[in-house]
Amino acid sequence: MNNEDQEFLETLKEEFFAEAEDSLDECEKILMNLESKSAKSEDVKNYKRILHSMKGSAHAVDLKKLAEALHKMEDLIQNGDEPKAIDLSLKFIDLIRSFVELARQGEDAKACSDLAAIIPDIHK
Amino acid sequence: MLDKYSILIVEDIPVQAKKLQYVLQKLGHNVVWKEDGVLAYEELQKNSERYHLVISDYQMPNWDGIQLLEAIKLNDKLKKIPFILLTTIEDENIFFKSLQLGASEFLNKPYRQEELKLRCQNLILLYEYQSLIEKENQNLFNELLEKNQILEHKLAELSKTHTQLQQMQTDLVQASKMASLGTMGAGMAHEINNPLTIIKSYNSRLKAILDKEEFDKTRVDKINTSIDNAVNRIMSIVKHLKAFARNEKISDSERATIDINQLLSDLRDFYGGLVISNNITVSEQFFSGDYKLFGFRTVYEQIFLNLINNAIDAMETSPVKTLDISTELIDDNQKILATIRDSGRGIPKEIMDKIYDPFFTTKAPNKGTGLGMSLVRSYLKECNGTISCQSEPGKTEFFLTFPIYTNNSKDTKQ
Repeated sequence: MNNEDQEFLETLKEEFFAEAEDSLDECEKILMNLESKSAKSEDVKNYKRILHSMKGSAHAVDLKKLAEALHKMEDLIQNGDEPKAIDLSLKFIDLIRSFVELARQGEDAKACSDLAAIIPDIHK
Repeated sequence: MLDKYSILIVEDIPVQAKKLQYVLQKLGHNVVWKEDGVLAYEELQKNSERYHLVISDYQMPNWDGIQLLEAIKLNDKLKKIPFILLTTIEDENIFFKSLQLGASEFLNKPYRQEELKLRCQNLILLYEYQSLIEKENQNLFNELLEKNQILEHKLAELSKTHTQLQQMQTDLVQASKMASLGTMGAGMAHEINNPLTIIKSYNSRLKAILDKEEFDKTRVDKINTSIDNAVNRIMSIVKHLKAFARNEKISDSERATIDINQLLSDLRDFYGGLVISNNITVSEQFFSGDYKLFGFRTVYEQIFLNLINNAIDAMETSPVKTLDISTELIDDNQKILATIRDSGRGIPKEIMDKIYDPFFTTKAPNKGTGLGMSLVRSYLKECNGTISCQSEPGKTEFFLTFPIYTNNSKDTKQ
């Protein structure tokens, strides 16, 4: 990868992070609605779609660990009536937020290793 | 080679779209990005000639990738553009549906850049070759159309020429007939004059009889019958003459069975006068039995009249003038052989090869057209006949053969 590519990737990452923050907010809101049982089946679909898009974008900016984590999160929620899974997902969103924060500061490596450490937990 | 190709990418997530756009632009392609299927389809309709490849995401608002693919495949102008469906959904239904609809490729996200690059290259090249072949086909087709038009034009010209030739041939036949009539005119006048003389003398005898107070009715009846016969004779001559001189195209329906012996006897109406005025002894010897020829009567008449006419001419200065006309059955009654023999001066060996050539004549100017024998030969072709000739001074023989008509020979005639 040459400098030009690197530069492009950095710019694209910036865009991704900005997008990701909105997406994470959206996801969190849906999860909380699910918790209080005020969510509709439509919301679960929307939640999955957001994660799915984020995953694709994470791949596009070469954040493979993040993409992997998002993929696992997609499978976590099935119908939206699993309290344990909802709880776990909410915690996970916080972790991703801090990942994004770290990565935004240029500390991709640390962010990734943090994330890698918790990925196996998601399935528990 | 791939520099100037245009690719339409359809992707709703900006980050992913920009990444794809960047990768493809690095490869040298022009890239246009649309955010959903509907917008992409509008763009394709607007610029149907422009794109060499469409790369589309599956999951999008409005139309998704499958709906876009469906719309493209239903559009004749767009359906040949290669289409890559790009998605992360590992859903067999979408995979099969897109292939069924005719997607060229199906790529799973995250795609490897190298794979994307190679697939794009292959598809674009394929599309280019396909377009080239189509263009070439179109060119060939146009060329074919053009050549076809030229051929049709030439055919029309040929058919025009053919019609003209047919007309010329008809004219030639007529000219040749008129020439024969000219030659035989004097003789025919004599033929008509004979019965007229008979009528005239009977008429004065009738007057003498009728002048008397009483007369023998049986005698009057007899004279009356004789006059009637003479009139019939003249009418018959005139009838033949009219039929002969008639200038009309002969149609296939006029083919009929022909009694050759009767036909040869009837021809006496035409040449009988010449025979008498030239002091020629004619002998006729015909086969007996009910065997017929088939074809146009006028064709047979022309053949024999030309030969007889030539025979009479050839004996102009001969000391002995005999004309023998005979018919006989040959080849186990399959054919008729007609022989015209004269005691004329003969045909010199050196011109024997030329006697059937058009416009070849040994007659004095204004006496012949030089077409008689060439017409004889083409008429013989028409009735599947043959002709051969043997000649020495004092004896010239023309041998003609014709197939005898049977019921099946009519069917097999080509």
